[in-house]
Amino acid sequence: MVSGKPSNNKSLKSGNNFNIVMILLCLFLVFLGKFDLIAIRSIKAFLSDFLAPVIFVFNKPVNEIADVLDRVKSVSSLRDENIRMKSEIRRLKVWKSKKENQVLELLELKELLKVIPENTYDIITGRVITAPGGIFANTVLINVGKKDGISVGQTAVSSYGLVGYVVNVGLSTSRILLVIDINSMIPVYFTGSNWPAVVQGLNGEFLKIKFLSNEANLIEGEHIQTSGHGGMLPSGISVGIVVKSYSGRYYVKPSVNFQRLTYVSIIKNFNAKQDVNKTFNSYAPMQMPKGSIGLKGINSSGTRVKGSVIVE
Amino acid sequence: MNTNYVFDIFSNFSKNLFFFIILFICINIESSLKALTFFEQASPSILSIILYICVRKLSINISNLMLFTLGILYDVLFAGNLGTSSLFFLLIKYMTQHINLKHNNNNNNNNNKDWIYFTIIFISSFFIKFIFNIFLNMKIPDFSLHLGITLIIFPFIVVGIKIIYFVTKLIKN
Repeated sequence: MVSGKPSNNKSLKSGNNFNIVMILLCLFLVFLGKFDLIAIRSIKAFLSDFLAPVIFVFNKPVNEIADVLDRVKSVSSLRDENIRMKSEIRRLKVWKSKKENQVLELLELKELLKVIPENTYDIITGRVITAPGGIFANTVLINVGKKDGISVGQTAVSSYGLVGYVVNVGLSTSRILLVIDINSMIPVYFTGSNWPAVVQGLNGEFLKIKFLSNEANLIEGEHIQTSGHGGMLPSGISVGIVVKSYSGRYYVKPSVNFQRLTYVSIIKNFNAKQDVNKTFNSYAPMQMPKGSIGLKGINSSGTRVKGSVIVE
Repeated sequence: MNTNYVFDIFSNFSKNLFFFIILFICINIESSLKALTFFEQASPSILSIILYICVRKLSINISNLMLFTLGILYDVLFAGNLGTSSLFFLLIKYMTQHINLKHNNNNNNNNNKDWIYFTIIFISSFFIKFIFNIFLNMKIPDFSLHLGITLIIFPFIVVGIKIIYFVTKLIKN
């Protein structure tokens, strides 16, 4: 092996001009990409479609290795896991008996309030082809596209909660911008206190909480769901839970483990107007001044409360 | 004369195609590494390490057009801003060819210098790419882990390639 020896000097000199041309071409592409032209989007979608099978083949061995490592890890903690599961089952049994009563109560209340039944969403599920990667963008490619009825802006969910939304669609593949991406901002509300906020990705493990009222008291472990504000996403999808950092700041830990994403469902028939008129009503009573509903953070007259102090 | 010229073109084309496939595989490996628990937070830039080794250690002159195409594919694969990765790869190649310090023949010293060279080249190329991305996205992502893990993984890949080279030589003999 030749150490520290630069390549052929003659070819270097002749290639210098070409190098500058290529760099200028790159700069041109960078600025062209910023304009977000339809042609550029189409080229990207076409390339994604074209490369999808190749990416899937190359990702397969690494995914298999990751699976094997996970299995080995889970075998080593099998006993602890078993104890945890048993206690979880006991807890769920208690929860289930409570839930059955609450469901009946809820149905009666809905009947009294004349709530229009929720829309059932039409979903399509696709397999994730790429692992979320890159420091500048956190996206995944899935193997359903335009031919399956996917379009830009549709919501992507998994069995655990919100994954993100579709940003680019090819004929047979779609790209999903994950909630952990720095460009993703999701309107949410805190299920415990009903305070609305926006969560922004940090290209890392956690999400940043933005536009939250100073009066809000966050509780560690509080669940966060999509609020549906803005009409882009349906409401009531789990986003994550509130966690406190060592510095005392609050962040959101997403419900979904993005490294282990294998299947993603896309909500196809979500219509913002329809959702506001129909589906959102199912959440609306929680935020309306109803004397019969005692919610944490809202008193009987519908005013938000901070601890025991009424906030005007 | 004509036959030689055609032969040269075909020979260069096949060489470039071979390297293109190898580097494209590297991109795919890089994209799939995030599935492993160890690289969950950040995956290393395998392609920049391979590029550095190819240019500096193996004295392979990789075509600029090929790097440009690979950069475009990289951006499509990672959903990055089109052109930034091409620029990054071209800069890595350019800097690897031109940055040269005085060398000792001591092998250990060479390894250390290689690592220092790579650190300088990688960080400066990455910094340019990073600035472009900040201007385009108007946001600053955390990049320290990506830089760190790439610099940590570099000696392992170099040792790996040296072992492969040694085994190949052994088999030939």
